[in-house]
Amino acid sequence: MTLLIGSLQLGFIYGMLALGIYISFRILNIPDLTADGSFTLGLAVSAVLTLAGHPLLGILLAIVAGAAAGTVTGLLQTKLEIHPILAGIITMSSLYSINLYVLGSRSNLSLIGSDTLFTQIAWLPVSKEILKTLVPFAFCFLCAVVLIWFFKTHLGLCIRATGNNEEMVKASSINVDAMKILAVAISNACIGLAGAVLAQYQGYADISSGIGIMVVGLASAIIGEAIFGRRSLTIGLLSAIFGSLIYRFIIAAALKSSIFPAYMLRVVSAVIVVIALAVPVVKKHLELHNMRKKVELDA
Amino acid sequence: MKKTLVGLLISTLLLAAVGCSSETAPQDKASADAIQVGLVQLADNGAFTDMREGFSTKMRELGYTEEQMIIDYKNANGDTATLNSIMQTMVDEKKDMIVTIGTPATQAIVNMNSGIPVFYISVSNPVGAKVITDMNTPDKNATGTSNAIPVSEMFKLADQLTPNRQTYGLIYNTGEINAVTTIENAKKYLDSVGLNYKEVIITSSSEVQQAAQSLVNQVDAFFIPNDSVVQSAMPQVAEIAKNAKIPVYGSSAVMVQSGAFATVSIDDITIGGITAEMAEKYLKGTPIEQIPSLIVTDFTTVINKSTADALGLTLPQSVLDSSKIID
Repeated sequence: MTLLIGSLQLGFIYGMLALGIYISFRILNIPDLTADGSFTLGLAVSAVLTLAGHPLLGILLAIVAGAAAGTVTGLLQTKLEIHPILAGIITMSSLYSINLYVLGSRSNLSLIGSDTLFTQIAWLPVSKEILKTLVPFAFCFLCAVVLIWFFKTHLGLCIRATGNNEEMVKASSINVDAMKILAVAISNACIGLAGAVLAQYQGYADISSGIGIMVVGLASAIIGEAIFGRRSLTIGLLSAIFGSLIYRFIIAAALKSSIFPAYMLRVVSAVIVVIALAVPVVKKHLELHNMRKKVELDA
Repeated sequence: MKKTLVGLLISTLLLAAVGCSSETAPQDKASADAIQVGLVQLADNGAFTDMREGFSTKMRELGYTEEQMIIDYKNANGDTATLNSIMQTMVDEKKDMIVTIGTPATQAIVNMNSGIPVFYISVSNPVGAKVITDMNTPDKNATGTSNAIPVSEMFKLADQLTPNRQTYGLIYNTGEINAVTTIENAKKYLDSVGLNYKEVIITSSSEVQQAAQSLVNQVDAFFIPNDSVVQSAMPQVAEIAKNAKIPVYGSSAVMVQSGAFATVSIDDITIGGITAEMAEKYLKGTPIEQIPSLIVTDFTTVINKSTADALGLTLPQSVLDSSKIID
């Protein structure tokens, strides 16, 4: 039971990460590798402020810090015309030092026994596990609602248009650079938020927490897309969160299967992801096959 | 599309269910009162493997056979997100105890407040990591061992084996709390005896070679703390130092095996074994509050003979007699 609820909790936390990745990869159509750094930045900021007794402020500032990291990547991409992938790598690697600085040149900061958002709402008359689900769910839900609203405003539509057809947007005398910087900033704000909630959830921030996190977010976004298809923006954003939940359940299933030795975990989860992604393709082929048969019969 | 969705959901749940059933099957086969132990580590490296082996070997020695004690070993493959899921699996399966290697794994389980006793191996600063408030009276259902690196012993050995070295080169990664603590102690010691040091900080193992090359002409010896990033590139450091005919002092036997000259360190197998002894005390009925967390000070000197030969050093017989020699 703990594992299922736990996967749900982690699914919502990493769902915010998936939202961030979805914005840069799908809405803006730019590969952004800042995630590994901005995620840990979120953890670090949140942990430091939680220790100082301000957990909520920690989460809010982590969003700002994530946005700042994204802005740097955006500026490098647009103003200095650095290739988006390289721009992300530059920010990500410099964030490693920044994160150590934020953590006070420690690599690990413990929040065990400190007052976090999770302990602050402990007065609610529900069980501990529900409490631990409530906070990630609330943040994930809020984050999704704000994004869905924002991307329907004029500014949001300009960003979406930039992702779809840059030349057309330029011709409409919209500042393309500003749109790109804004989108990367929003993307990394979501990623920072995910890190911030995670730090208070797991009770520590470690400098290695962000390693490989990009892949997790990307896998979640793509799994969601494979299930729901590329349709409206609202469905796209929600599918990223759903993909994150599925991804967590996949990891849980991989952990439960004790047939494989421990070091095989990544292969097992990779194979399950491939199977999940193959289902729609196989289905499409079957449909095509059936259609051909039908046509042949009709002829 | 909806059908696909439903299909996918069902298949995922089925997979999970199949996973669950395949998990419970071997448990049913084993005797009903077998002790279930979850052994968790964040990542794999030589030292962690030795600690793990040390723990399970000791348990078998203490008479817990494979039928009586089932050790379920899980490795997060370096992914902290997975680490949380692993801990949830362990709580879910109601393990009788959880053994963790390293600081993050220990923090992850202690923060879950699961009611399952935790025995940790090699948490360098348990009080700082907040898994215990006072080393003598565990209050968070967790106790275990810490590995202190005997910095002063290390430099005394260096002075005996390779006298009159004025400047030490330090290579480490600020991302590891264990390494930073050791380096701070080393600097304090070097300052107190009036020796110099030059340091280079690296962030990934790909930078180690250049770091060593940049230092090699400015220093008389290297000192490498217990840093897993530098440790994984130790063969390169050893090679560069060997060519320049200067010694490398490491912080673990694994480093000496990879070509460093010598070390005074805790045997990783021993530290795993000591945690096993603490876990046994608990199994025999001692409450965890009465099993103090220990800083292991069981040091051995380890020397690499072939590196010594390459450096052209002749080692005093007294040192050779009291050390573990690796060829």
